[in-house]
Amino acid sequence: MRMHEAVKSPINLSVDLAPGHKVGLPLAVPILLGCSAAGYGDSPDVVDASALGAVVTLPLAARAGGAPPRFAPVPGGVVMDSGCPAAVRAVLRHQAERWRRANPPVIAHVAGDSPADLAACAEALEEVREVAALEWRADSLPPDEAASTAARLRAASDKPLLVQVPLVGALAYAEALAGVADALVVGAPPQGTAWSAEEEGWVRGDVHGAGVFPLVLHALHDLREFPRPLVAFGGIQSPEQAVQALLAGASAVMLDIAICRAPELPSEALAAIIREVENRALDDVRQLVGREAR
Amino acid sequence: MPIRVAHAQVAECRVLEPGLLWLRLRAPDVAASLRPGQFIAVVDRERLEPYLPTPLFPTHLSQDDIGCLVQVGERERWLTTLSEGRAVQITGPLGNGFALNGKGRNLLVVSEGMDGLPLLPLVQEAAGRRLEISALTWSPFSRAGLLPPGLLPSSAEYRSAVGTEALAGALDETLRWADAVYAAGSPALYLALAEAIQRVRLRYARGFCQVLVRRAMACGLGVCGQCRVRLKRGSALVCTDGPVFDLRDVV
Repeated sequence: MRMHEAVKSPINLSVDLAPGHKVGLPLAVPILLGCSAAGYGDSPDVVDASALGAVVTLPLAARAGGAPPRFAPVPGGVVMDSGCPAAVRAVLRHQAERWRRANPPVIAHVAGDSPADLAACAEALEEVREVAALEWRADSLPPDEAASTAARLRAASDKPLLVQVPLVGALAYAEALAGVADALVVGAPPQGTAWSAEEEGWVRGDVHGAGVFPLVLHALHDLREFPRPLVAFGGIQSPEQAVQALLAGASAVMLDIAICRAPELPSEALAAIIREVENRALDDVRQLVGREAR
Repeated sequence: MPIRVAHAQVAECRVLEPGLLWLRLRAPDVAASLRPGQFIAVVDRERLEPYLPTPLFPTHLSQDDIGCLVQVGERERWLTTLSEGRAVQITGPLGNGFALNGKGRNLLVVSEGMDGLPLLPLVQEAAGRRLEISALTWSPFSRAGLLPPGLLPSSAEYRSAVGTEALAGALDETLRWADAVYAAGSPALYLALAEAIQRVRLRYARGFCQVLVRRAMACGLGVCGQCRVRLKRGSALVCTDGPVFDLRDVV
């Protein structure tokens, strides 16, 4: 795979998504592959890995469930039910060695039916050095419960914690999570339902697609005063949108299943970010963050 | 072979009959490296609908072109609107395809109706190597859905069976002399195949029977986890670990 031009850039492209954490979560570049775009921590062969700061795994849980994944295409996007999470220990057996060789770092997306389940999953990952951070989605709980659950996760793990908050009502979650999360992922994919002709049934799950991006920008603007890093996740289809997300306040962008349409998106997004920094006569990508926040 | 993302030009696009499309894509960068049973993912980057690339199993391979007989469902409907000369993006080769066992001269190819279309490149390759091919096409209910003999090389022996009893009988006959078996169909076919192999053969060795597992695929790249299936030895992703698996891992 060719090395991205970022490697040669004089601009500082690195960001720390957990500056308040004792170890931090330093990324070489502000582009991530999100949950459902990187398998269990594998960036696909067709993506330029040197344009990625980190990859997020599919959901991992202390115990595996039985429900199979399902999806339904919709105009401009897809509704995906990722099924039950995989058992963390089974994934570790298969992936730990690959993670050791992996570049970029891996962020484990943890899931569970209860705070105790989540804590058990986090504990299983605690000694895995290759897992740089944990990500958890909070949108199924009200803000106060989300905060207490995140606190339980923090107690179970020394790793930096990224929390996905819902795109609608993000501010309430941000206020509740301000003292607990190292960074917020903005946001958890909205929920939708679609008819699947292949499955001959309804699919309820995460909505991915072009229509999500305005919701992400809207939430980023709402969270402009949030004191910790924000990561834009959802609907990014073009390099220009990646730049817009940074200008709106995101410290990094997380790409989703759009990369299967556009495998060149990470490297082109990074190139666009570099151009934007240069055009504004800046020398550090962090100076771009929130520059056009309203 | 490395996976490539390439532009392909639509060389032919014809609806042969309701629900069946012939699509030929000119894509030398990908065509030459495709193996039977592997697939490509096709998307029109000019439009957002459909959003996900459409997985297609080639049925006719050449150095420059990828020919696909496509059973048109909801996800494939947009392909029928493509005009000749139109550019689309294809990603491939994707997945693990069939491997022609070097030792075997007598091949049994089992197709459940038109689900056996991805077997055609394998049959063409085997015919080119002058191997003996017996092609058994099966339908659980009626002759209407059987793979037409005209799609097979003239050197292949063609058999058909309708119903589960007829399938068992045909498998018992043909499995006796087969050195290798290749199949594409439903779990019901694979169960019948496994039972017949255990009934007829003294040994049921790994590698003897390769089957193509169909599951709706969203990304085709192994990243979204949507095509995860449970196998006997744990779970696997159809798009990257398969779609071709050893029957012993499936049943």
